Amino acid sequence: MKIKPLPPYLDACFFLSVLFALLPIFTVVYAEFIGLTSLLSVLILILYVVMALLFLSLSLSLKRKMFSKLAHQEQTLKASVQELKKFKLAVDNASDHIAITDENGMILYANKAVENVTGFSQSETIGKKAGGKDLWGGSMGSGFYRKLWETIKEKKQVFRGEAHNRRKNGDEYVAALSIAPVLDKERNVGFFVGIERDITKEKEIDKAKTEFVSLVAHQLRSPLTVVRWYVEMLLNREQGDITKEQKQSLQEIQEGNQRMTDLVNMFLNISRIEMGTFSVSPEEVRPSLVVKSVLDELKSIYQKKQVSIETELVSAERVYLLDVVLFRIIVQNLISNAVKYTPVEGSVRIRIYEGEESLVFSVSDTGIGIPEKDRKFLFSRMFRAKNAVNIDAQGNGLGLYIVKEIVETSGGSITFTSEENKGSTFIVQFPVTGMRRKEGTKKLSV
Amino acid sequence: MSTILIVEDESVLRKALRMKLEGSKYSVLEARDGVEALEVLSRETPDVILLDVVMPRMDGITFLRQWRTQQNEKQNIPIIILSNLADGEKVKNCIENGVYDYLIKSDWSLEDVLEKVESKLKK
Repeated sequence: MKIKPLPPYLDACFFLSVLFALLPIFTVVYAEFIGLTSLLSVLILILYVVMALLFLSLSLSLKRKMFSKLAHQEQTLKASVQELKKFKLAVDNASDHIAITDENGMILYANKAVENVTGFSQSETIGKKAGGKDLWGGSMGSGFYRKLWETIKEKKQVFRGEAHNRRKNGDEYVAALSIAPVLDKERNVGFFVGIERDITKEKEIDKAKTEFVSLVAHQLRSPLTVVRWYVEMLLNREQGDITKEQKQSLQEIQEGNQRMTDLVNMFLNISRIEMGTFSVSPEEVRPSLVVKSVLDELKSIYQKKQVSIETELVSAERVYLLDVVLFRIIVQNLISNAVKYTPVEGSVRIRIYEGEESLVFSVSDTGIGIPEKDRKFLFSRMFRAKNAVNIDAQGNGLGLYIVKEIVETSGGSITFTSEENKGSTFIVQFPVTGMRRKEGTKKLSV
Repeated sequence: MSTILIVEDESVLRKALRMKLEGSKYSVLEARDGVEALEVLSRETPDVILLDVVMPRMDGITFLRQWRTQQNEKQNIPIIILSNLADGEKVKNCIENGVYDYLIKSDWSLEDVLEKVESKLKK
């Protein structure tokens, strides 16, 4: 806040009151001289005194007012300083690492958490480049830093990311960071505020969880194989004849076993997705043939429900660069969902066509649709729309999550439109140039 | 009559494969791990090898590496991997050793495995 100087009229009032106080002396001295009658001079004298008192009281009251205003100003100033102190104390002691830098990334301020997390004291950090090699940074690829600077300095936007940094003692840690440019009125970068949180522990727990799922899933496959193979032999009457009832029971076992196998595969795929270890290896694939083979596989299901299938596919000869396993997972999930959630005698329409610069795969159904309030959660892990649960209680809510992860990791996009009780359309698009390659150690399985 | 060598540490799975293959008029040889497989191969010449990956003593990958160091006419015997571990690294190791058929046991029926064996025999 601004403190105003004493206004000039205050001085003028005081000067006038002094002037009027002095005037009677002149009047008395010069009254005889200028020939004033004593009555007139007495009157003038009284007038002067009244004027003097008037200006004096005016000046005093103004001064009093002024001082009370000043006192008030001082009080607010003190309060603001107090506020600022509180604010600094809060930033100083915040649990997240907070640093303020100039427009070149040189540190102007670092809070205590910076020392707690990185091991570098405040005096060691001030004046050095934030996240530079001298301090905790420099361990990420140059692309990371390029993107960071481009975001905060050129685009003037907030950068969010995860960085592997190094503490003073050499230990590596994972930081979730967000760096915001603070702009002035002309939108020039004044300084940057960087906030980091040490998420090393969370990361470790997450990885352990994912590895555990993967281990368990692999261990489960052996007993699943035993059940599968022996039930198969019994069903094939390789160990003697079976009754109709026995056959039915064995088929139930086989189906349950298959469901569990699918679930294990799904879990494995999810753990690979979450570990970031699945690869995208595009090769020349004929998408129309993939759709046809999936339809063959689902034939018994849609025929039983009398769901009619319409297809409108690019020529079977057309080749695109796709990862055949991943593409199959996408196609399989979307078509089997469409069939599953379409009532008896409904229809499913499958299209593959080349749009403007993109390869489009779409599946429309005349099914139950997706309730409006469920739409935003549709691609979340383990989420199932309410009306879907009523139709099939066994679903695991993983299919669309996996599809979205695959589509986005391989450089595509997925959208849908839906109307409850009328149907849904899912549209997957990839660039005409195909899926984006990604190295990884594990293949997803269908 | 063709002969199939089953390399698998789990006896219950070995037994199922043996019954299925013998039921289809194949003769069957068994090995419980890589060491036994090398032993069997030193005296016998099967027509197809079904190979598990995770096994005690010597796993399937180590077996493949050692087997490929031997220069003999038996190198042409087709090998099919039957495993429940589809680790990309392991698949890559198998391909490097000239084995392209990598089947996940829990996803394949015995009938499918039999068909795969037959397709290898035809070649």
